[in-house]
Amino acid sequence: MLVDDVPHRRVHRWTHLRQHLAGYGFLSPWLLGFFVLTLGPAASSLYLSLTDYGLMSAPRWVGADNYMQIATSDPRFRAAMNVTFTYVLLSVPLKLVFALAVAILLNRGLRGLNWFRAIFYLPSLIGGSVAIAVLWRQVFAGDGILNQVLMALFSYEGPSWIANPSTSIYTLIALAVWQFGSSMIIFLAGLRQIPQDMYEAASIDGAGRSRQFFKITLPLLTPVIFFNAVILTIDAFKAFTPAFVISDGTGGPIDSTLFYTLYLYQEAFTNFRFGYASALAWVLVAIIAAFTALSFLSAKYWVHYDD
Amino acid sequence: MLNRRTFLQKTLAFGAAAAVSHLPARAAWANERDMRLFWFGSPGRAERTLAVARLFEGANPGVRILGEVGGNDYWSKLTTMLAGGNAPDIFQLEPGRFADYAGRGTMVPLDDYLGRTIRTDRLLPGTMKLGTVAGKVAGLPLSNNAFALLYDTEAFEKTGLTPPGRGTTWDDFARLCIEMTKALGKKGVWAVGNAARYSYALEAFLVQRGKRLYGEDGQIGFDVEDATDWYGYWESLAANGGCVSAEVQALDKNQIDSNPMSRGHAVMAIAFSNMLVAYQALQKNPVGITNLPVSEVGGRSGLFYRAGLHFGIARNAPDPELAAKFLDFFINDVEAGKILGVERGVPINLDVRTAVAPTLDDVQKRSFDYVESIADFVGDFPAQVPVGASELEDRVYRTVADRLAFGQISAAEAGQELVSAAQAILSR
Repeated sequence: MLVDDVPHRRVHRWTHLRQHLAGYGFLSPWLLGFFVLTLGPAASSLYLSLTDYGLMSAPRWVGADNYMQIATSDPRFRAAMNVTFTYVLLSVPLKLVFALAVAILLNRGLRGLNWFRAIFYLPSLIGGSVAIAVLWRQVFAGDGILNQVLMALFSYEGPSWIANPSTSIYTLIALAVWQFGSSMIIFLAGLRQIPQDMYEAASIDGAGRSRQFFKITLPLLTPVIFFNAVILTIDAFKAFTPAFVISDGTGGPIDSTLFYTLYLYQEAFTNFRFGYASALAWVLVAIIAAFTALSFLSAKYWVHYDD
Repeated sequence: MLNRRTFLQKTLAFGAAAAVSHLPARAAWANERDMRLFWFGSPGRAERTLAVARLFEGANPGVRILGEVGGNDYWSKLTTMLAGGNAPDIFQLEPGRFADYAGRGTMVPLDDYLGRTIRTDRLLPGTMKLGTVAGKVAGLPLSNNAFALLYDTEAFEKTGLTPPGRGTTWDDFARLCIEMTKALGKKGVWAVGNAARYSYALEAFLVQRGKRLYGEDGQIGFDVEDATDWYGYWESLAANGGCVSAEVQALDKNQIDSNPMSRGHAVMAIAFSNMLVAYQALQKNPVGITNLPVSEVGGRSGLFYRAGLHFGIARNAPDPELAAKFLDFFINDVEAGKILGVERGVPINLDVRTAVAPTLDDVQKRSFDYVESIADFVGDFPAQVPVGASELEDRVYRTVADRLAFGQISAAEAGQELVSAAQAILSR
């Protein structure tokens, strides 16, 4: 018995190995992508963030100097933080409210619902494109559509929203809010999951529409709101395309649309400070991580899970 | 037949191939005599450049030149490729950023090729200074151009005003602009863009008063007082309606198609002589060309012959000899010169210049004649721009002038800010 057990086990192990290999084989595209395109660059960026790295010369170790400079003496970092936080703190709540409002409207059993859903989703699909940037300039320029409407309706001569440093960031926030499609779809799905009999019971008990909304819809939707809020916040911190396309990568006028990622990009690719830019990237990672952690910590006070 | 084992092997092999295939600078299927050429500019430039490339291929069988055109993202794309070790064999640089790339050792020094592969005997004397950084010729100047004032001839005819000339001082120019805006009488249209943010306009202004934008020591060649005078001039011109509003100027990306004149907000533009061709393409009326206003009549013009653009050979180019041969062809071949015209500026080879002159169309001829006509008016070549000038171009000149235009700071503060920001960047 012992004699023929050995080859048997060997065969067994061999098939095991083959099965594992097959598994890794199928995983390999993702694994390779993860190691070569994500983990590797991330690790080298962490290393570079501790160096002074120009372009053609070898990186020179400077320890925490880059981080010290970010913290103590970089006015453009502070400008970029200002712009980014304004963008995150305004665009995320506005987008949530907007997406939820439209989702509730669409959930009323509208005719042609699929049609409307597609239309409202469209901006999210095309939002990052150059064509939209051009459109945005047409709308918010000094002689743009918005000012023509304001002139016709209120005889109000508006500024060039996009060229004026005190208003330009708000055009980008409007652009973000306009792309509420994907959050709206998620809200719609969430609304569908709320059992109808709760509303029936509530209306029998005499609860009006708004009371139903605040006592049933909103509490039961909190997990979805939470999910959307976290995703949107992370996305908003990472926003790059809108500012890049609309200001042509300058973050102008006068750094008023200098998103954090845009500043990071400029430091690396136009100012040739790859080490410093890497440090900026890691600071952003820390900020996003802190925000996400805070959201999860706060979740237990307001997110309502059914089970 | 495809069984699990062979499938697995193939998958792994394919995955591995996919992983390493981006490592070598050129793909495995690339021809050994392929050369990548990267430039930025208008579609017209692309046509001319590619036509010259085809001509070179005809004369050098087996060589293939792969052209790549960059847009607004040209500089970041070039930097990315340089950092990633897959730079194009030959790339185009502009004088204002030249040293940032040359000074970082991204290009093969051309000294060994000059006078041999690249013939220099018929080039405009002294030209190589324009491509020299730290004692080495890092890039080949392709053409000459000069600062120029471009204007809509129709606007001057209609209003009866006289276009500026050698006798026009900056004060005359201010009066002219204010009158022009009034005479045009159209909302949203002014005489000229707010040139406070263009470093080249400032450079001409400085040269006229015996200063320089950059000195030989790699620092700025002017002081707070010069800068304050400059900003003060434009501040008062804007206040009097002579130049465009802050909001109009803010949308200029310092490119031809975004200049207030190209956008229909102005009838004059301070630019470069070779840009006449591209400006004209965007204008209905014939565009005239003349010199910039001067500080005093009979004094320095502030103009000098500058390199239109450079070509550099990448440090990692596998065949720099072949690349040098192409550069030689590009500047010294008469047929190539005829194709290129004066779109990048007037040919730097004097024989080519003579041969090209009769072949030019009307627009190019205006640009050509202007460059020839100022021969007795130009000053010396300037010092090479220092490393860090790119950052000044992108972040400082524009921002300081915009802050002034939007009334956030005074002219004196702007002058102070420019000098201290420039000193900080250049001494880094």
